[in-house]
Amino acid sequence: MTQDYFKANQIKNIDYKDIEILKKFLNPHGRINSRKRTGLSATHQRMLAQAIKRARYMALLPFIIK
Amino acid sequence: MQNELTVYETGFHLNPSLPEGEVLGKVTDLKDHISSRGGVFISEGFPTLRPLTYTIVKRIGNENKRFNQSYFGWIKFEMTPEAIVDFKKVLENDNDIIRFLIIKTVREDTMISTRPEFRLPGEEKVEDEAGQSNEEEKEDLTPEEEAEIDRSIDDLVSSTDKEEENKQE
Repeated sequence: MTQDYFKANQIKNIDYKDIEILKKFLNPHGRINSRKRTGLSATHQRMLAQAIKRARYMALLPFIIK
Repeated sequence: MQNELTVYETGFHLNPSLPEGEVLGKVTDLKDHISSRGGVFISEGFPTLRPLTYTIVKRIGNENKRFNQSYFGWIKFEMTPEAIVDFKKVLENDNDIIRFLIIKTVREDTMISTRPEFRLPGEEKVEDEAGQSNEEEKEDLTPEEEAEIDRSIDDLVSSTDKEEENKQE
């Protein structure tokens, strides 16, 4: 059974505006969870990281949560 | 090869002090800029007022202005790579746009309408068992037991009240 959330749900593109999905892959400090914790493939982890970084730049997600 | 169209998406934050009527005009202006550069409109998300997760500082004139909310919208369009450089300059020079982002994307809608439930790997079973056990505990309680729990809570509350009174004295 695959653990990759995006592969399992056949999501091909990760949108930086979809912050409700992106939030699930952040820890309580707002940092991106590691692959060990997200269970994503390397490709999807890279796509996720890029989407989160875009969302941070656009102030849709915080850089840090104190 | 040079005239091939690429799918782009621009997300932008508009100045929150803009009157709501002018927001529509601003979006129309942007669409006009796209079409005048040979771009083809695909889809859009109309700007809505939303809070920002941190304060954005934008230099307008000789002043640093701080924004904690904005009208966030996006437009998806097709354009040649040469024209997008020109369009980027338009966005940069617009003082009503406090921040923007241009990305390459795909024609299809990338927003997920129904979000499947997400669980971190290895947490699935633990959550299920915990949920079930809680429900069972609730179901097993008889009215007599509930009354007993209520009485014990009342006792605790009254004892803490007395302690506080003693301290005050």
